Amino acid sequence: MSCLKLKKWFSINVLLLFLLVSFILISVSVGSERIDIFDAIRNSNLRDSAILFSSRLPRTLLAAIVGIALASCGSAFQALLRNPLADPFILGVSGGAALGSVLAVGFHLSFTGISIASFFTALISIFLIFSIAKTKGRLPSHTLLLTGVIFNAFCFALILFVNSILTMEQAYQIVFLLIGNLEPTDYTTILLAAFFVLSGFIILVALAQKINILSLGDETAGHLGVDSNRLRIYIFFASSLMVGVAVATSGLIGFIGLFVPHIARFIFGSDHRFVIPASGLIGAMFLVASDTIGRTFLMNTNYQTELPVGVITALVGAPFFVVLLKRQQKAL
Amino acid sequence: MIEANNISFAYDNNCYILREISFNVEKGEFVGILGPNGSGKTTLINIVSGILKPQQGKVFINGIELYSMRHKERARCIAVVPQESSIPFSFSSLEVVLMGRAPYLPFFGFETKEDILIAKRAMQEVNALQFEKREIKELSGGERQRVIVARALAQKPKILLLDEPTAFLDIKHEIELYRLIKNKNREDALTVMAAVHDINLASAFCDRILFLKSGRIAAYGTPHEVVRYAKIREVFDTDVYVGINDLTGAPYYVPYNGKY
Repeated sequence: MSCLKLKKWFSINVLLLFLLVSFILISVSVGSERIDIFDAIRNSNLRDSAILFSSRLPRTLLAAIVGIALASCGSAFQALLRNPLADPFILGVSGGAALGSVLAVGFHLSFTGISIASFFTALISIFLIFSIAKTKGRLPSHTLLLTGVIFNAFCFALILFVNSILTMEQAYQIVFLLIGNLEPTDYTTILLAAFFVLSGFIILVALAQKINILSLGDETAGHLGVDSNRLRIYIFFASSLMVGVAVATSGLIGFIGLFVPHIARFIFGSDHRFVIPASGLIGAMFLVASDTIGRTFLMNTNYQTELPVGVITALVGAPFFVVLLKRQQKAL
Repeated sequence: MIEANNISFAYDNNCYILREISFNVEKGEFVGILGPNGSGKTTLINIVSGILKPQQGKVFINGIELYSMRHKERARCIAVVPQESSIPFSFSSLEVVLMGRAPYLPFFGFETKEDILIAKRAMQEVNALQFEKREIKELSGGERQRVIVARALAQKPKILLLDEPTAFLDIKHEIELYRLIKNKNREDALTVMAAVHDINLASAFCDRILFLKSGRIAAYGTPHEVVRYAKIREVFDTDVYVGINDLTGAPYYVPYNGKY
């Protein structure tokens, strides 16, 4: 084991983790209501405690968890499809999970109910997509891509249909879902989400070396001793699970899975042993920051409302891509 | 070292690319595979490398059946240099060569100092060490192929397979590459099998040449035995003039311009 590179790996990830924790701490101190964080922790101020522990902390933790899920899946998927424009929503699971959420809204379920229903449909989608895309025991990239795209299209058609027969209020709720929204939730949900996401994350990080080789193409990977088919299956299941959980708890937050890996690659190079964990942690920081902005930005204005986090990520993501495109054009 | 027994292969169960191919390659031999377009050269390389499984027949490496080997085991024994490689991410040249050490790394392993030394030494052998920090995307075709060969050498293989490795290179880089491979072949007793598109090149560098036509072996022997007017006519369906190189004693061909 190379001491040098491993030390580098540990120091980078410890640093990023430290930054993430700082982001979380800052995030929970900031908001529409002023609170004293130390009083809140010491429980000497009940109102502040309530805001901190029942509202902000769960929401921020969820932001971190979802950020890890979407960004790390994005980086793994960009490697798997050998395309830097791949997005974790290409998988198709997100469509199925979103459909579950929409149906749950239709049945007037609570937030937890929506998450559970959505997770359930996510699992069904994973199974369906795998069965459809599987060709002779293999999972070729182009089949995976096609199946994901078709599955998403179909789910969205159903979503629009359901949307059209619901009430105005429910339709409004669905908009928030489709754009991506974080809400404070109970700690059980958070723990479960953390469990699934961290499991998937650890799997992807462990497979990172092989993912490097996979990005060279199936034939070359085979020549270097990597079983690309089995690897793709592992990546598919780990990623789908993470994305399913992310969509179940926060809807379709876009752009994170797309551009955070680019940032990670820009800073750390293309070695996925660094890119995958870095993407996860940077994604978490990004989403925490975005949600904090969304919570506070309009609060002191006349609108007095929160911006859903998906709006912030889209507003940041789109110009980011223009910048990326311009840089690529200059290079050519 | 390599023994192919009655190999038949079809991509889609109907159109057989290779039929009943049987041949032997001795340890330390440099064998060239030649044939017209579509004769099955790339397919044969991919079968001997283990990534394609033939419908019929078996390949044995040193007596062990190729498909019974595990992926990593196979990669430690056989290395492949493809015709062309597209690498969509911006890896540095050294990172690319280090990937050749993948078959030796533990599960979530980082390369050891030893691995880095091996990679650098391989880059030095192919005269590419000066690119180590440069991105693979920035290199020219010739430079890239050298890096890919270095990656194959970093695998420390017993067998090196090449699929028309100089198809996109000019003659300087082409001859340089083959000289390099021939050196490794002689110095380290590295067994080499290369799909070659140029008969003269094969004649100059190979110990034996295998001619493929329509998926079958049309000839297998030393350049003297197989680079002959009649054989070339049979395999490539064209007339050429075959002569003997005064300098090296190897046969060569000159295209016939159709005037006579």
